[in-house]
Order: sequence, then structure tokens, then C-alpha cells
Amino acid sequence: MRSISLLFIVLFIGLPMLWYVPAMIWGYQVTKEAMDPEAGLSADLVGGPAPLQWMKKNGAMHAYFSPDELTDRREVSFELELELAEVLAPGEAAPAPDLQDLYVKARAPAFLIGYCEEILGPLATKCDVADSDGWVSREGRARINGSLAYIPAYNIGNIGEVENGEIMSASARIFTGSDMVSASAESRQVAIMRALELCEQVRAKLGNCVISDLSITQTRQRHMKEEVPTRISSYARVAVYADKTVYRTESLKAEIAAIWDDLIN
Amino acid sequence: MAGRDDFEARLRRLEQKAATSEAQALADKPRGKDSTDKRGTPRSGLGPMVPIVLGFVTLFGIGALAAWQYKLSPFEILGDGQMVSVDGWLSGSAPDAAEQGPANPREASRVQTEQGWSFTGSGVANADYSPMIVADIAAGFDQNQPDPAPLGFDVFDANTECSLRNPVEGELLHNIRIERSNADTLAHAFSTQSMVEALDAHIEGVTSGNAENYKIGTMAEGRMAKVDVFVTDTRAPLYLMLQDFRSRTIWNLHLAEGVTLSHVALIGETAAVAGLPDGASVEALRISDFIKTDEFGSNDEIRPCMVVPWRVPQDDWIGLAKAKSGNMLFENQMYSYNAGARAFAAWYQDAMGGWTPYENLVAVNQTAHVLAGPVPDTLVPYTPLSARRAKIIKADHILIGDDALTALHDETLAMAIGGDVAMLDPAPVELEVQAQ
Repeated sequence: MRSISLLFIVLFIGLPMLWYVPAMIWGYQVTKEAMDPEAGLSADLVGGPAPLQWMKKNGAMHAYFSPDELTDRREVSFELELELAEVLAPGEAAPAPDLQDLYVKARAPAFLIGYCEEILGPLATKCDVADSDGWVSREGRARINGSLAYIPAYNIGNIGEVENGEIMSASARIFTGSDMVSASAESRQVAIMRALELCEQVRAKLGNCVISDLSITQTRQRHMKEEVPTRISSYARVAVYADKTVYRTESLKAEIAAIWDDLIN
Repeated sequence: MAGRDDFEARLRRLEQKAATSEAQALADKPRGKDSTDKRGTPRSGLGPMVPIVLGFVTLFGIGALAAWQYKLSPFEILGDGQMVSVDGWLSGSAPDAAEQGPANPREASRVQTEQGWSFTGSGVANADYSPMIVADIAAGFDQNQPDPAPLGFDVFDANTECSLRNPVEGELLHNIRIERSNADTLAHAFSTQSMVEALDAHIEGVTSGNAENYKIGTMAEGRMAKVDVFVTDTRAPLYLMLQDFRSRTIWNLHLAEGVTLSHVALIGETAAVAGLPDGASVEALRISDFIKTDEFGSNDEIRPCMVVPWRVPQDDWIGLAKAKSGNMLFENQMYSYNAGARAFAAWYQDAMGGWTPYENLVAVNQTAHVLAGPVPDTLVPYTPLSARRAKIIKADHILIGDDALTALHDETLAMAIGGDVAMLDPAPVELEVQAQ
């Protein structure tokens, strides 16, 4: 009975006390450091100069404005409609119907990385496949969707001097509706250059700009039941780190729309 | 700017005031018993411990009380169960650990689970769930001898009409119904669609950029398992109805002397049978040809071709005891078993000309050996699966060996990629710096 009492005391009083004392000491230290930063130690643990800490603490800022990393907030995205033969090697026999989806999905990354050659240059210094998918449509065509993450080759501007900053974004239609042109390397280059021009003008006005998503969609069009060559449609979404006391999302969108109108007219 | 200056000045005054108060308080504070500082700084002493200790005591107390109240554990060995009616499972009595039978070396071969008896190792499932091992009924079986797969497979077409040959006059029907076999083999049978789905998941894993992604290495689910069936009923020509629910089973038949087997019907997913005597016919129903889903409630309705062989919950199932004690998870599970068994029985009786699925029934959760008939007077000769060929219903891919399984997936993936597997995750492309 005595040993049970002892066990009870150890379990229910001793162990909580063992936990309680260091917890209180730690709590006291943290509180003291918070009240008197000069005596504190925790801040040193974070490490790094202030701007680096600022970047680290702000994941979204890092994703948009990091100068040397591939991130998921700077992408060129593709939606491609192709003949199945375009995905196969020259002379390669078409796979059995129940394997066709697998073939297109398995070849999507290698197919997309080929577009990196078109992106490198004025837009990007580095490019990689961020995500990919592929399947065969009911019409029997290969569909490849995916995106290429990139590191900007263009000047993204200065974000360090923005006060009350907030990331805002807006889109511009590069090729849509009647503006759509035949899909080709040249038309994709036009889309890239127009997106770069837009971003340059935005940076000139607002101090910084990143092309967060340049979407390129290449699909077959039907006109009076007759197929016409694959057309390209494209949108550019740009992101800006702007003073939220000056701009709201809607006013920024209007500003960027005005810049785009000036550019194309 | 004036506003901000005002604010900073106020903040400085507040900080100075706090520092002064703290210094004063420290100076005034007597050393000894009362060391409690009630102004928000960290405190020490026994006062705050009271709720913490009480909290610990309460939590431990609740745990101890729960452990005392619910003596059951998932692997308790209980007494033999009684059959209950399909509708009567809620009225049975809860299993009681105090009613456990005496220690028996053969007891280790069976275990009561949430879904009924399972026989492990060389344990033999039998009609009254009594402890039994293969050595009690057969000669030549060695539990330690690997029996990985049959010599080969002979393919036959599954019955897609959802009908069954009815027992003819003079035949005796035996029903063997298991949830799954617990003796895996190295044989695999699966569809191309299943392999494509597995490779699709593998590609998603590789292209996710996370080398630890759980989808990497996914392969088609098609591993087959073995069940030895010792057939000992010599009273009349036998009709064997071999049913499994959640495994792809190769039924390995061992016939006692004097047994006449006239027909074998298989109900399951990609089932096979080995040791079929000359003159015995075989047919098979593949569950997925008729039932596309196995989700809660999907098998409840009495309808044509409800071929999923659910078992009726028994009084001694641990899951039934949990359901009776108010565990919602098991209430739902036991409901599914009951409703499914009712629907299966309705279809079965209709398809079998009035014969019921409870005729000469052995129904267990998991096993690798089953006795169909009485304990024989002389031991039944045992023939391992690896010494026989098996008849199997048609599947897109039937393989023996895990290496063959991996090779088929690798080969198909390489063809789909059109080159090296590294093309699934191509290296980043960088702008070449022009040398000046």
C-alpha cells in the first residue's frame, strides 16, 4: 500500500512538478526577453540580416520576388491540344486505347520542358517543369496541361522602399477572341514580349513588377464544322508590391488596364 | 507625424512606469512564503499546480476507468459463438472474457476478431470454429515449407450471366465463405486498367518533386492468396461453393478417400482453383463484373446479382459487442454486414433454386485452411500448390513472381515515357552565359 502511495505521489505530483519548474523558468525568460529586447537571446536565434529575415518571414514575398529561386508564383502555364502522333516519336505506333492516357501523361514533362528554350532569354534565366498532366480527349487528341516555373531575367524593380506594402495582381488579355492567332513559336514569342512590355511599364509606374503567370492555351478551333489551325490565346497576370494606403486591388487593376491600353493602342 | 510622436511618447512613459513599478515591487517583496507576483510577470510556487495536478489526476482516472469498464481487447479469445438470425444481431449477449475456454495449444491457431473468427498459421477453419490444425486432418503438410505459387495457370472464362449451376438431386452443397485468405502467394492477376492507374499514381508521385511522395512505386493490386480446402464429406457427390470477399484466392483442394466432387463454383475477385479432380466442372463469378463499389450502403439493397458474399455477424464477434455498446463505427459496420448478408442470401437462393447460403457452411474472417466435412478417420494426403497447376478466370495479366510484376510495370512505364525514366523529371534548363 505504501509503495502504491509512493507511486501515486511520483506519478501525479512529482512528474508535473518536474515539468512545471523548467516550464516556468522558460516562460520567465521569454517574457523578460520580450519586455527587454537588449537582454534577449531569442532574436539572435533567428539569425541573418534584417532584410533576409523579412524575406524569410514573408513566404508570399519570397515566392514572387526571390531573385534566384524557382517558385510556384512565377510560372508560364500551358494548355495544349495536340494530335496523338505529335506526342509519339516519328514512326512510333499508336498505343492500345487503354494505354493512351498513360502515354500522354508520361510524356507531358519532357514535352513541356521543350518550351523552356522559348522562355529563356528576355523572360527567364532558368526554367523547370513545375507540374504536368496529360490525357487523351474524347475526340482522340492529346491534351497536355502544365506549367514551367522560371527565374526572371528582367528587372523586377525595388520592393524594399515600399511602405505599407501588399501584393496585388491584375491580368491583361494578350491574345483573345478575334485577336487569336495561329499557334507557333513566333506567336508565343509575341505573347512573351507583350507580357514583358506590360511589366516594364508597370514597374516604371509602380516601382516593381513580376509576371506571375503567363498562360498560353493552344486549342483546335471549329468554324462552321470545319477545323481551322490551332490558335493561341494568352493572358498575362502581373503582381506588384504596392502601398495599400495608395492602391486597392480594384484601383491597381484599373491602373494596369490603362497601361495595357496605352501599350496596344 | 505629430500623431506618431504622441504615440511613441506615451509608449515610453508606459514603459518607464512599468519598470519603476517592477523595481518597487521587487524591493517591497518579502522573501519567504508569499512569492506570488500578481502583476503579470511569471510566477512560481505551488498555487498554480493545483489545477494542473487535478487535471492529470482526472485524465489518468478517466483512462483507468475506461480500461476497467471495457475489458475487451481486439485479440481476446472467446468461447464458441452461436449463430444468430440476420435480424437478431442486436439482441445477442456481449462476449465475456471470463467465459474463455481452458488453455489449449491449438487455441493459438485461432483468434476472435472484430469480424469473427480468424485462423492463423496452420489453423483450420471448420463448421463449429473449434481449435484445429492441419496436422489433425492431413498428412504431408509442412507449415515451414514455402508454397509460393502454382506451377502454372490454365485460363477459363468467368460466368458473366450471374447464374449458377444448381445442385442436382443427390448432390450435397457445401458453402465455404471467408472474408480473405491470410496466406499470400507470389502469383498476381490484375487488369490493364489497374496497372495504368498504378503507373498514373507513380508518375504523379515522381513529378510532385517530393522524393518521399507515397505514390512513388505504386503497382497494381493483384496479389493472390491461397486457401487449402480439405474435403471429407463422403455421403454424396459434392457441390462446393467457394466464396471470398476481399482477396484473390487460389483454392487448393485436398480430397479425402471416397469423396466425389461433381462441381465447384467460385465467387470472388479473380479466383482460381487447383486440385480439381477429373470429371468435376467449375464456374466462377467475378464480383466486380456485377458490383462496382464496396462502400457503406452500396450492398444493402436486395437486388438481382448481389454477389458479394457478406457473412452474418455472430454473437461472439468483437465488432458486434462494440456495436451493442454504442460504438457508431461498429454499428454501421455490423449494419453493413447484416444488410449485405440479407441481400446476398436473397440473390443466392434465387440463383440456386432455393438452396440457402447457410447449407453446410464454414464462414470465417481470415484463414489459409478450411475443412469441408467431418474430421476424417484417416489423414487426407496434402499436395502443395507448387506441385499443381491452377484454373483461373481470365485476367489481362497473370504473373508468377514479384520480379515479374516489377518488370512488367517498368517495361510498360518505359514504353509510355518513350525513353529513360529520368524524362519524367527533366533537369531545369538554364540560360547559357555567353563567354565574352
